Amino acid sequence: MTKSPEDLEASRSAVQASAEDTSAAEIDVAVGKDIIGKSPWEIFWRQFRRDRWALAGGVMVVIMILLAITAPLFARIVGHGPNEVNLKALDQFGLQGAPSWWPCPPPQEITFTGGTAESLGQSGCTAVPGYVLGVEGPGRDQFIRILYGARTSLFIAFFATGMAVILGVVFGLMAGFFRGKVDTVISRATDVVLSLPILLLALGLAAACGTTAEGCLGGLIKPGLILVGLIIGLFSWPYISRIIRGQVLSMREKEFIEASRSLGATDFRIMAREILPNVAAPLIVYTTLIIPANILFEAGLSFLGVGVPDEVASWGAMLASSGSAFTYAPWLMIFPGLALFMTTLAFNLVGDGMRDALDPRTQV
Amino acid sequence: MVAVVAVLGIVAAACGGNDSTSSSSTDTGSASADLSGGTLKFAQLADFYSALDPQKEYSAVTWEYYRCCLLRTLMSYKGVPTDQGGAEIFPDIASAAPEISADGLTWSFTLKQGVMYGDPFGDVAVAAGDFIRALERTADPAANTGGYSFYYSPIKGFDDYAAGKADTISGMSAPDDSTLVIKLTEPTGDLGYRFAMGTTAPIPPNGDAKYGAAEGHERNYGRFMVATGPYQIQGAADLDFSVDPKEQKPVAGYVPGRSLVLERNPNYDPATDDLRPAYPESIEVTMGGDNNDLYNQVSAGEIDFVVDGAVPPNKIKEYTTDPDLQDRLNVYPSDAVRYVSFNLAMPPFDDIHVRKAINWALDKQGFRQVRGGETTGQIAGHIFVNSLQNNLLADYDPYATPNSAGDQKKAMDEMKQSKYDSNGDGVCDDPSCEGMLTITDREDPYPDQAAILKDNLAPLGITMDVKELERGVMYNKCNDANSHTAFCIGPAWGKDYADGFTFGGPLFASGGLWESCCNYSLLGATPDQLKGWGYDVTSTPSVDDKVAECSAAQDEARFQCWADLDKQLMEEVVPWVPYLFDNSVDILSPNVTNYSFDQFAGLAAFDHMAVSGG
Amino acid sequence: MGRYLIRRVLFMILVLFIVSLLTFLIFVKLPAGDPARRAVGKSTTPEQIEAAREAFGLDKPLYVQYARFARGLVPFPGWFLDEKVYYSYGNFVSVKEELFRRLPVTITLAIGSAVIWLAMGIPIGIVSAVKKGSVWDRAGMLFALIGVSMPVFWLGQLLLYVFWFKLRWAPKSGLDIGASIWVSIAQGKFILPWITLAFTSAAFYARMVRGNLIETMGDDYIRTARAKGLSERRVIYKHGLRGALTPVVTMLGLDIGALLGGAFITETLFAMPGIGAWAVQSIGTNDFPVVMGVTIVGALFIAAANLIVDVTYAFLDPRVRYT
Repeated sequence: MTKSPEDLEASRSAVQASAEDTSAAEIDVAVGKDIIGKSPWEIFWRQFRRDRWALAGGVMVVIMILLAITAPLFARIVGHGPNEVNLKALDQFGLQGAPSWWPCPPPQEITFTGGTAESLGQSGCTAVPGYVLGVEGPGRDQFIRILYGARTSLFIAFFATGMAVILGVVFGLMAGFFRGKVDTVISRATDVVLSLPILLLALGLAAACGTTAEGCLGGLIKPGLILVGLIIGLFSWPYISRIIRGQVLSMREKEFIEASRSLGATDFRIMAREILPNVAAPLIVYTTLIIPANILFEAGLSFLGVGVPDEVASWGAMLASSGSAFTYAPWLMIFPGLALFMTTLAFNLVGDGMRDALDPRTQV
Repeated sequence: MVAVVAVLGIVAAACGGNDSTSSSSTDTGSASADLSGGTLKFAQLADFYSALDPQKEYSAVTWEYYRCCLLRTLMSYKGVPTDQGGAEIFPDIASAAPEISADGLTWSFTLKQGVMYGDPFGDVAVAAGDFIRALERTADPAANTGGYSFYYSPIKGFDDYAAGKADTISGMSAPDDSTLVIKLTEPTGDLGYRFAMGTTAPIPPNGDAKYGAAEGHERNYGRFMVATGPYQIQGAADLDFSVDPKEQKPVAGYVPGRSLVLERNPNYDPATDDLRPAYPESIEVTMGGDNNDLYNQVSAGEIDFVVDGAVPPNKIKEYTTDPDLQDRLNVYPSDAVRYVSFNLAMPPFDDIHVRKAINWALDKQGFRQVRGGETTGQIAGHIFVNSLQNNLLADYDPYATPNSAGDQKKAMDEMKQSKYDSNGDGVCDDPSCEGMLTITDREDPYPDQAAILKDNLAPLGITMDVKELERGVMYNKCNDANSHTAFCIGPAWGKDYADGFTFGGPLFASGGLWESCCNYSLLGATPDQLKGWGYDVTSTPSVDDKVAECSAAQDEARFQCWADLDKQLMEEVVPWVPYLFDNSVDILSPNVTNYSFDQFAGLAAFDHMAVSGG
Repeated sequence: MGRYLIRRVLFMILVLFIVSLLTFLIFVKLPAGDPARRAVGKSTTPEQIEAAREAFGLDKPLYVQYARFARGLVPFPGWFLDEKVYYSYGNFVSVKEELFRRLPVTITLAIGSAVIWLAMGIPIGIVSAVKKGSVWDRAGMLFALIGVSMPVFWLGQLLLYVFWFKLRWAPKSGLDIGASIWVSIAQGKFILPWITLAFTSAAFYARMVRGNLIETMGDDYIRTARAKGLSERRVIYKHGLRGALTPVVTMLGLDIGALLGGAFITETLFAMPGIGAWAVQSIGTNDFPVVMGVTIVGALFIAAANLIVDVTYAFLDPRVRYT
């Protein structure tokens, strides 16, 4: 499941490396040379662009986002929404139909003891025209549902991760900047949250508040996507917080901070104007690394039955109900799993690419 | 009782009759030496609801374990289908049918000699007083949670004992060890059937403890149960009833949530029993696992049978269409009905037109299709299983629609008459129609059925907030009047014995209200009760009078009475939408060489299953 | 060292306190409805609910209620998971009894998969780092990338399909009745679950080892060792690895600690009767005394693992003692 980012050391030296780049460029400019200095950002992007895998990952992410956004459009084109039931897409045994292009055996008449001649068709699968990725559940379009599942995963990715980032940055900044008691309290809190049996508590929270009508706290916490997102975000902020704290600690003593302070800048201004932009790079890297973990976390919760409610399409839930279906309906298990895998892969590629761009030493 | 087995039925239903069967090797009941021996390997998805405690367990699966194997009762069943006498009772520990006095108020049973208990009471013979002990425990509120003690209220003094007003049940006496006399407060023609259920199985004496071997085990006597049947729980010989109950170690062969092993009861004398062939040497049950995975294991021969699973549609298809597999598929009507229940105290379900509209709208064919199609049962047009009414209402379907797929137009026409449709357009305008709390079982296909229902009701302006829960939790929530559940999708109800009272009483009479069992619709609730449960609605329809009338009726008039009640429920009360008369569908592993269907429990008869290879 | 130890132990107690508080709030207080009724579950008598209410101390002030639950955390005989509060109404057993019965399965899963992922991840990481940029490196990192992107349950189902359903190489899921852990291991029942659990971790560890080793190898003392004329292999194994592997030890401790709390998804998938599967089941049936017991025991394991790892670290690297 989620893990501590392995490359804390690597990133710390990476930031130093890029900081050195900056001073080198600044010196050149100061000396009056006609060199077009590159900001750390530009160096970063140039490295990133060179990495074919990272680019591929980036493209995949963009495609995913586009697909998620245009999901309703596809639904309109195909003619069914994600929750529309169409019993005709099931055969008489209630078996889901295969994608329209799936190689199903041709129908054969089979008679059996006591059977009526017209009541039986084939023993294999039934390819249903009009269903690109086959039929799911009580006759829903799996293609559309996977598209809508992308929305769920992306929502979790951005909402939960966003929450983690906000909390993590705030706490990390405060801990690293103010040090002393503030640091101790926040660091202890971080350690405590990191030590919690996360999945269990998340399961418990989701189950306790997600499966009753009333929810928790007198209806304040209601089941749904937001609850799941909150839970995931609440448990992932320590990772960000630790990174940020580390960055801030190493940056605190630098001259430009001193300079700002001597100009009379307030703490807040220093944090916002000077420090934050400089931690942005590793922050982005770690954020992208956490996103796939959060996506898998939500899928896991849905798989165990405590994630999002039924109407909300979720890849994890789709895998839960169709996991053992490969013996007769492999498309139910292949496509949602593939979607989940590719999404996580894409974000991992992007994250890796970014991390390598920051610190070329670890590049493949 | 709660019919746990989910089912698919092919041909049985297609042929139109209620009691036709597909090809299967059935046993006539005669023991054959060739079939004896071997270990049956069972899988069970869920553990027993109440850890096998006989005074608590009220489910088909447990009842089969009791009947086939663990607990003999005064009267019992043969473990065969209806057409072979499977719904009739025969003397088991009783030596003959009971003697009934002319006024119907006194029943006398004479017991067989030489019926011994299982280990560690192997040298103790069953005595009449042991039945009194069992009935006392049945009445005891500390021990009978979840059970069916209401069946024994006609016994004089039973309710007084239950209320703590008496030390014994005055109406039961044992003049000698072989004679049991029961006095009733009113004639109860089906008392024999009531003494064929597990809660009446004898409990052996232990010193001078009030409840004998069950003393001190209010919570879980099941783990200390003393058997009387052909089998006992493995490790029973090591039970030590001489120490304080709190110090006693539970039987090793039953690990709650994990496994149950039954071994032969060494003290059982087959000569005293002509109901049970008891072929297998032992039965090993593992609990847990994935439904589809378990059925794959059955096909592969790694386990022999899944006790409480639902044969997945692909397996039904496979076994139906493959000539080599067809004789390992068994389909029988299980005398159970599947339904969606309404809570009549939750608006808008306090308006009969809304309930009727839903009866028109629900796609029963679709519900059956996602269960697995025609194999799984016959579309139900009414509530009571046909065999309980002697097929009087076999063609009665007041809400019949083309292909039973639901009729939107008729539904909307009905809705127009409701007060919740203020502008008469057939769509509910009231906020109470939105987000109605719906509980369903989370195993397949119930969530799919919920999705179908959502689809059916959307045009009527009714939207649902569906919660998928584990089966036991679902039943509990549906039953709990405090949960304010509007719809309950997923319950099934099977007959406890072949009489309409087993439907009418628990399901629709006020005796079945919370905290008792199974009147989910809250029929017959008093205004005080409704207020106490937090409802604004102040009254619900009651059919108590009719139920009382029918349970006093006899013979033909009784069948007709239940039929009339059924009609009344379907047309004037509308507490449910019944959608399927359930079939029990089993597939067997290649190792199973004999099979019989037990009409009593609505499951395979475990003692008739023979297994090759050992 | 002693003072460090004391600080760490105090911290561990703090963590356990917070976990128990959170668990108490989440499972007992947060959900709507009467906790006693919820715990006792299915059809119940007023007496049983009363008894539960007594045991939970619901009529007493909040801190007393919490104390009743928290007592179960303390490894003191008679207090640890005491029967009155920690009783599974769903299975009619005491939480302690069932927990200890299921512990061997979970321990076997944790340790077995740890062995596998270390045996896979570390060599791949080393080879990738040493042969950086080569085909080996790319292959290794491809494996790692796939491993960290793969959803555990999908992998498990794929393995089950291929190796049990199709090839019949693996035995059916679940353990045989009465078979001891050793017998079950011999039957090969643990192989697929081990692989499923190990795959993702192997990938993580491979990446981690590779990253650390590359960085350590660029450090000064490595340059010194090379300058001294040591063979490359000695440089790596004697000097480089030590720096690279210390974080691995840290992670290993934490991971095993976490796994001892139950590998929920894997256990459920392969029908392994461990603590994790039990917790998931109990959450489904609202049997929250079980969930609380499992959560608290899981937290104990994690905290203990943390402690051991930190102390070992401090032992190896004295600088840490002053943080």
